[in-house]
Amino acid sequence: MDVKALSFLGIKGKIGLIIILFVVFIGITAPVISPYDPTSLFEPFEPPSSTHLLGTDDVGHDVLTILIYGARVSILVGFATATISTFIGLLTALIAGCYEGLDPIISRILDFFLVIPRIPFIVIISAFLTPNIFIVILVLSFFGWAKTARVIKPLVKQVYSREYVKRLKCIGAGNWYIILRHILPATFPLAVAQFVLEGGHAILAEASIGFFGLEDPSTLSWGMEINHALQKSIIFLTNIWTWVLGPPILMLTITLLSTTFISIDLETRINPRLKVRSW
Amino acid sequence: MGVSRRFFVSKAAFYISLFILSITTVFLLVRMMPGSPLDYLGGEAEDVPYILTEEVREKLLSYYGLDKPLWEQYIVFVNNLLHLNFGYSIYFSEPVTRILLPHLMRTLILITLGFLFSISISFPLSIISAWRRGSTLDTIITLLSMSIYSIPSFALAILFLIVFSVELKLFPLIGFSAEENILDILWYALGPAMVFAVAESGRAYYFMRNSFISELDKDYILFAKSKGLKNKTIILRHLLRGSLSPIISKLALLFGYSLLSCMFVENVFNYPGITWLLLISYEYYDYPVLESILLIFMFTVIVMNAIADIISFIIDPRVRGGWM
Repeated sequence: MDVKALSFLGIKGKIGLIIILFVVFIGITAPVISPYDPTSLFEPFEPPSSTHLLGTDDVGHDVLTILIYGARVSILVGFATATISTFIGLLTALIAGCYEGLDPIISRILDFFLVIPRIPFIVIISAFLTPNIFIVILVLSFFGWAKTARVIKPLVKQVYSREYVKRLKCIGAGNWYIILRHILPATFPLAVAQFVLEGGHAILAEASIGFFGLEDPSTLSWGMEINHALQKSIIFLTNIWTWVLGPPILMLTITLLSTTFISIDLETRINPRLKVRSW
Repeated sequence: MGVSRRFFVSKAAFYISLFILSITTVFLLVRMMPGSPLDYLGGEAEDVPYILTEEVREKLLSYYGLDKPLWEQYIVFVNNLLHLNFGYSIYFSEPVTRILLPHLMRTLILITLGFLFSISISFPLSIISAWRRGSTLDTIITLLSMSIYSIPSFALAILFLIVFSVELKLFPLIGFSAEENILDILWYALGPAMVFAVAESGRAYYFMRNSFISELDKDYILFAKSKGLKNKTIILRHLLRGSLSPIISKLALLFGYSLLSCMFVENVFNYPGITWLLLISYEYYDYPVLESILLIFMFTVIVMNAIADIISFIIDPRVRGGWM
């Protein structure tokens, strides 16, 4: 499946995939490749030098180390949230698309989820629970699955009403047999695209939570690093921002860019009319 | 008109139930937050020299109506909302509307300015690149807008601050002025609005380009071309009319969500808009203000959804057949 998926991607998708794999690699090997222990402290605001390649931040963390461990948080949140919300969303779409009686109720629930403002509610929820990584993953999945379900449901409905499904029913195939053997594979490309999109959204949302300073203070994430940096307005008076603020923003942007590249590439494969020929 | 009446009744019932559901959710989440508004009544927790005695505490709780069981509070809350009474702020000790309206107005100014900027950038660009699909120009614009779409808006805002406020010193670094005339407000909203416009234009461009492209592939455009109509005529008479319905309803939705997406920009610029108020009221457990803001967020999205429905009902006769 891996090789197939790769040949499925165009040049943008491949570039995106390479970047995201690079970030995953950094995240997984964080303890090995990071120059220091994430908890060790040095002089604050030291400029980049041979001992600290990207300098140190306001409390004296080595910025490069924080960046490397931040990749771990982002990738974990993105991957886990995308997995959970795609799974639940796909399941909901399959049920709503194939059982007509349940469709109106499920649609109303999905509409309600669409109205919930994600970030303000996360602010409120953080009053109940300290948002460590796992809470963040759960909350983001809770808000994310409905969109996936909404996107996939029309396709499920369309496939379910095709002739061959009717014939399958006539020869006595069970509903779940049809769903698992015939409809699930048909929704697969869209589900993959949605998975990547949802992963990107989750990474952005996690960074946003960190940006507002709502995460568990011990979490080493890019968003929290940006939040800490912004609270010290001194960084703008000199060029400190170039190494305290620049790198986490750059890493976040590159990661998000790669997920956008992959998902748009997948989207143009599914809907070839949007394709741009020269790519 | 039987069909359209049924359409409206079922839609109305749906939106009303959505309103009730969101009011209940907001009420429950906010009132059940661990902590109490009384913790901060005398100022910051650390520098409170006195501790409220039990007696004063109870009096205050009953003054704000917080001593009643939750369901009674809920009834009072809903009753007040129905009379458009948003309550009395505990932290600011002023009516909520008096606190909320100036902040909401500033945010609306920011959003409206930003939205106008963003559409005036992305609308022409999307027509050009849809018309010349596959050309180098289209590739460059699409690539650029995808990159902008991927950059978090707070990163854009920080970049803007560094370039224009720190290095070039063109714009103020702090978000508000003491004077309150309309020109000042507009001036302070301009920076955030520009960032917001750039951040939103990526998204707006992308969906407009897609809807133009799917319209351009239809047969009647091909027919218009083969009739030898000028490009300008095809775009103005046929393309725009055909694809305007989905675009306008999508823009209405985007506008509804922009109250949320401007949160980051407001926060970076320290803009005294609704985000600032949200974070303050959250910090000090100011229930009435917090509830009002959350309700505003949800209501705008609901209302914009309703408007999108109505617009597509008016413009696009196919929707009238039956809904969903």
